Amino acid sequence: MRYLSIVCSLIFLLSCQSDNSKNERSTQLEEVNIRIDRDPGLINPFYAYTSIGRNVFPYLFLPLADFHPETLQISPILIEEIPSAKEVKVNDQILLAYDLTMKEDAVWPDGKPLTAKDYLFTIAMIKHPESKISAWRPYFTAMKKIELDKSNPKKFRILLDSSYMLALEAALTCYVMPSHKHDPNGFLTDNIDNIFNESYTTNDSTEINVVEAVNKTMNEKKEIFQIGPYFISDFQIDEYLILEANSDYWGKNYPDVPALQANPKKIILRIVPDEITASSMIKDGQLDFMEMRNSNTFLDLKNDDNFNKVWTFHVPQVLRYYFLCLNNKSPIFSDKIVRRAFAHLVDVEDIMENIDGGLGIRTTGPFHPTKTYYDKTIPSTPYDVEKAISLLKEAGWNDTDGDGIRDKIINGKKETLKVEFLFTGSQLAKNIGLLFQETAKEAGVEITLVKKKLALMNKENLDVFDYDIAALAVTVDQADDDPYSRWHSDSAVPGKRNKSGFSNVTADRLIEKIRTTRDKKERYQAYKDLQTVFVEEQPVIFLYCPLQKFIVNNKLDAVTTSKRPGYMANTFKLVE
Amino acid sequence: MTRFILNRIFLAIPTLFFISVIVFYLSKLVPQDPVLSLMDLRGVDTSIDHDDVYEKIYKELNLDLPNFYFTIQPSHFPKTINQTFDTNKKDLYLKLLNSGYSFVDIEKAINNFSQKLDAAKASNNAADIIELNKVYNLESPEQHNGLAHLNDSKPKSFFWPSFYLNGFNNQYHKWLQSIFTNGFGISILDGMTAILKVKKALTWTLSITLIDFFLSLLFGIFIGTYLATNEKGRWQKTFSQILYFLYSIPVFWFATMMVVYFTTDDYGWWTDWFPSVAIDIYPGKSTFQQILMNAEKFILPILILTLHSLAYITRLVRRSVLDELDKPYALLAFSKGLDKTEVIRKHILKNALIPTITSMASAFANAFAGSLVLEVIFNIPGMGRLLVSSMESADWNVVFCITLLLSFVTIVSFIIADILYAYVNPKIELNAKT
Amino acid sequence: MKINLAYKSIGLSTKQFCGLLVFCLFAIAHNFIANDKYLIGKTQTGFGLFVESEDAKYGIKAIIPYSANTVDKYNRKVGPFSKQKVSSLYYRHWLGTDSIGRDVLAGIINGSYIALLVGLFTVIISLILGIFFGFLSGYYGDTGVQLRKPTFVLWMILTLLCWFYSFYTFGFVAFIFFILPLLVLGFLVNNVSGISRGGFCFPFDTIIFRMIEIISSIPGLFLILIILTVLGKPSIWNVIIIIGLLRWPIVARHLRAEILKIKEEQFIDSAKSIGQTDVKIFLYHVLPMAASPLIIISAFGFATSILLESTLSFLGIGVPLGEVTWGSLIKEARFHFDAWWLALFPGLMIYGLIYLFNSIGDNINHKIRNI
Repeated sequence: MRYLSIVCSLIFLLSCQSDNSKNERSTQLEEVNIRIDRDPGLINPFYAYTSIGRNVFPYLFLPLADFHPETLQISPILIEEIPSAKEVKVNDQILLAYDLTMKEDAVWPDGKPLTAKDYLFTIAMIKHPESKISAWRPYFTAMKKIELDKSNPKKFRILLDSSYMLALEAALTCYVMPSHKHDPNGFLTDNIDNIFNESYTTNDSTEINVVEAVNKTMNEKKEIFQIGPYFISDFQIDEYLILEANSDYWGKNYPDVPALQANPKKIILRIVPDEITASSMIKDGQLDFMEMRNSNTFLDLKNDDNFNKVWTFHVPQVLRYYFLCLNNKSPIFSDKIVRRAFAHLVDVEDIMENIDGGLGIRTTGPFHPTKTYYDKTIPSTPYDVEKAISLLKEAGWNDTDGDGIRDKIINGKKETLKVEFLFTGSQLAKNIGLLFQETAKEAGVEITLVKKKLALMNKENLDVFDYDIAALAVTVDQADDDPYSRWHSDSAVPGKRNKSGFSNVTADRLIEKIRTTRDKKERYQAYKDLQTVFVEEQPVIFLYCPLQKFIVNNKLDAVTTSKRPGYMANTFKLVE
Repeated sequence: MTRFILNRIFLAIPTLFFISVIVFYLSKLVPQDPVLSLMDLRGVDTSIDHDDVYEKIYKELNLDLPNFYFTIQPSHFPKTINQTFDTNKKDLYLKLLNSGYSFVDIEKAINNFSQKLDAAKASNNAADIIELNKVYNLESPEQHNGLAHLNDSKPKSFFWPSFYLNGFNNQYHKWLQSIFTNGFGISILDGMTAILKVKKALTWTLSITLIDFFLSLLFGIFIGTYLATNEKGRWQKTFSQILYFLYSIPVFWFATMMVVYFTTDDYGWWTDWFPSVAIDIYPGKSTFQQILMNAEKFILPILILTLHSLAYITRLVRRSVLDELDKPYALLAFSKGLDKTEVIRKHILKNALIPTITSMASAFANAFAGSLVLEVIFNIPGMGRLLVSSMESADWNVVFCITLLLSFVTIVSFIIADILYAYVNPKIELNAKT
Repeated sequence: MKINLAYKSIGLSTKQFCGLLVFCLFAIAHNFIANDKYLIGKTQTGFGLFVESEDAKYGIKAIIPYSANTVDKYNRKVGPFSKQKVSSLYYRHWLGTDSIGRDVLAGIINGSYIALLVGLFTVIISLILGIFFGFLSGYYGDTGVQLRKPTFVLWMILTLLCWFYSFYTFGFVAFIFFILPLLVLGFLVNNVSGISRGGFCFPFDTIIFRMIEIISSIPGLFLILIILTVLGKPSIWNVIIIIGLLRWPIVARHLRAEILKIKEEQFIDSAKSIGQTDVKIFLYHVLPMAASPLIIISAFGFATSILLESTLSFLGIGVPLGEVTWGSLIKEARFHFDAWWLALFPGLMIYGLIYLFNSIGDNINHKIRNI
């Protein structure tokens, strides 16, 4: 036995010598290897794209302007500068006019200049009834007209009405399609005035052909013809995706615009679904940069002395919050006292500090604590089982049959406090569910855990309000929050986005005020008032806002930000 | 021999047919709506009602056709039930038909009801919509009657079957056709043909399983014979113990332990035995080249898999060699004083391998199952990982493509085993039935 | 002494028998061994079983004062040898805790219950089906059942009708409808068998062999994964039924081979000649002789089912999430490389149990061959 084990281990030792010759240093950053956890699948931002698609398309597609990754203010990319509004009267209606100019040297990969016509074509595609870019249409209802400047092909003016507070952001963060490629004869752009009409339909086959041709390109990865600094040179599904920098890119004249940089010659996105594998790849030096989901693995690596010599750990904010969605339309949770009792049953501090490794910020409402209008004075709901029990008693829930689970007669029917906890399968959500299950048991509540894919959960439970509790995360934008879609009672109908079904008159009034008030101070006050209502009503159990977890090779000078996806690989540089 | 082979292949056809039917009906049971998935893929906003688009795709996927070549159903069921494209409505129809209401009555009642629902939707009355939706889902028997307004019509308590022939214009037939022309349809994740995705994954899995299979066969026969012929040998006990240990150890645990302890030096300088588990993808190379370039990364998974199947094969070989040794001809040969190794090599081993061969086919199939777990643990982009990830994202076309393909591979390996069996043992050919 | 003889006579060693006993004991009494409640506690109203600690004045506690799901939030991811924040040695986590503070030992005890459940019931299901089909195909073969042609036609019609109605009814009635044709066939055969010449031979052997081939052609683990995902709702009973349904062909195949051997014997013919019914012959004469191979297969089947179940839990498919099983503990270990106790102990349990059942199977096998 002993001899054998020695022989075996000798064979193993001889046959497997790990190869560490990879980490050679060179002066120019040739390539960065970045891990993504799933195949990006669809990456065309005009059509459907996956959340992983966000890691790819910012290098290919460029909008007119976008939120700056560091200042988080909207700043120009394809246009010269952010315009200011002028009030114009058109057909007895006061519209806001914005004058825009495309950057002088901005060109498409084939050398043709970027013109106002390209933007016009894009808007025509969005508004066209035959087009499949339907998801974008609602954001452009406030856009009434585009006027091209006859003397300068790069200059144009957009006219918006004031029905939507984020209309300008939508118009500016819109990506651009090459009109000379798709519509050289101008079938669409010449017909723009008709297309802007809401009830426009057409039978014109030439026009429909143009639209259909564009529709067909939506799943083509290699055919993407865009203005970004990179192009897709190769990809293998479930393995990798390689972006290569355009040679002699015009964007290098603008070193202060991050989106236009093309520092690494190649960006290699590697698809590694398993986090454990990814962490051993990073130990091997096969990756330069990765995002981690699991805080424990992240912290283990951070505390590893050999490891943290070579790697830096970034934890930027992300505009995301975790919450336990309660079905406000169910007989149990329609009572706000019960909702508050449940909020007392979740030990958020414990979850955040110990289960998620302290990588989060507590929040009391749907607004991120870094936003200026977040009210820090509101205290969060503490973990307190005694309080929860007394609240449940107050709401009339008592254990009358002695089975350890509270019950109550509602509308003549006996309801028991047995609730289902839906989650999408992440390790964290599972742990939250297991902890919740245990504390709830003490208060006489039985919780069963049900794992379900998000798409299925949406269709079967959330959309039709057929659930009790669901663990969800929501990511919001840099722009001021628009609480209408998630918290207004108008949206609390099946199929819309108010999944909790929360409806409250005061909240509705405040939300409408937020949407229409143009004075910042007044609007921010309304945001603060809304948060007070949320704490009072507890429509859902707000947990906390997580931090992003990045591991970066020390050789890289990488900036991470709270703007999704949290990094811009095109700006990575070698440390001097 | 040719006749035997042809016969064997001919017999495999009904098996394949039944498996394809099973897989087809499994694909019908899937909780996901294929039309909605395709709508997502094509970028249709599914949060808004798109009845026209839905219907178009529904027809495009042939979902309006009958399921199979023939239909047997209760006589009061309509022939064209599949043409109702609204899934909620269809479920409702089926539920009510099952409780015996006639189709005409149901249609009347539902028309009545949907007018109500439309009215509620128009007035945006949330409470009403939810209440009506509940009725739509038929949550309680009272609602059953309440909805249907079928109080005046009586449900049938007894029904007769009726039988229709549908010809080739049915879903199963079209599905089968699409396998050959269309390669199992497209993956809903990226719009790529399912078969292409699977093909690439298969190269990885096959290369692992084949190497594992041959290595374990080679060593298995050698060690098995050694163990059987040297019952009191020096290594006998050690080997048997090790093999028993390997035979009982769960692959996934073994692999996890090896990865956790023996690919890093976290537990001491001497534990870093193997390169880390991550397969290094070299962009731009073919799958086969990738495999070659990653050769050293394969050592650990192949080692684990080989050790596992080695234990299985060794036991088989040892058992059948022992059986042969007890037979009169072996005893005669030994008593004649013939050279021991010569007898074993020339006579015993040849006969002993016959029962082993039939088990090879299932060993091969087992190797696939074993590689599933290893692929997940070692992040090898093979069939197992593809299957698990496709199932998680409800990419059912890929899942069923894998199932059919694997069944095909298994059947082929069974046939090969049978043919080999007949080849080494011609007696079989004569009275072979199955 | 008697029990001693019983296990020795089928070839089990004392060690194996004790191992089996301990495992069954742990599994059956899992609630009494590891529980955070008082096993018997005095409350205001009197004595009661499983009393919450707050309600009880005093009572008897379990050996391990934690249930599988009890969360000890002061001891998260502590190892067996590391320092633990516990009030006394009694509350120590002897095998450590997982990342949210659940006791590993309590989890292992609960896992043994799941393992027994899965192993036992999959074996029972596969035995029932396997014996039934093995009997039909082995005992009757392709020519053993003869029917008059009109009887056969009538029977076919009955079968189709019954299966049709079983499809449109639910629950137990559907099952009766499904099984009815076969029962009726039994009666028909006994009346008709061997009388008519040129009647219709019912090819049981061919049909059942085709069925077996189809089932074994689909890779088991893949099929289980797919069916469980299609079914959607995780439940341990789904896992059990599917594993059972996939494993009966092995029992049937071995039983068939065994029956073919036994059928050659004289006593079967003599039993037939005195007018014994086929079922009686099978139950009283054939089955006892084929029992040993069936026990061996069951022992191996037990091991395989446990392995399959733990693999499924490891992949996180099929088994409900709140349930702590050996596989789910090992799965946890993959996320925590430094927590070696999470992988080691449950893995040792799986290994030990599979080893136990494999060696039991081998011993019985050995015993039979040496008789």
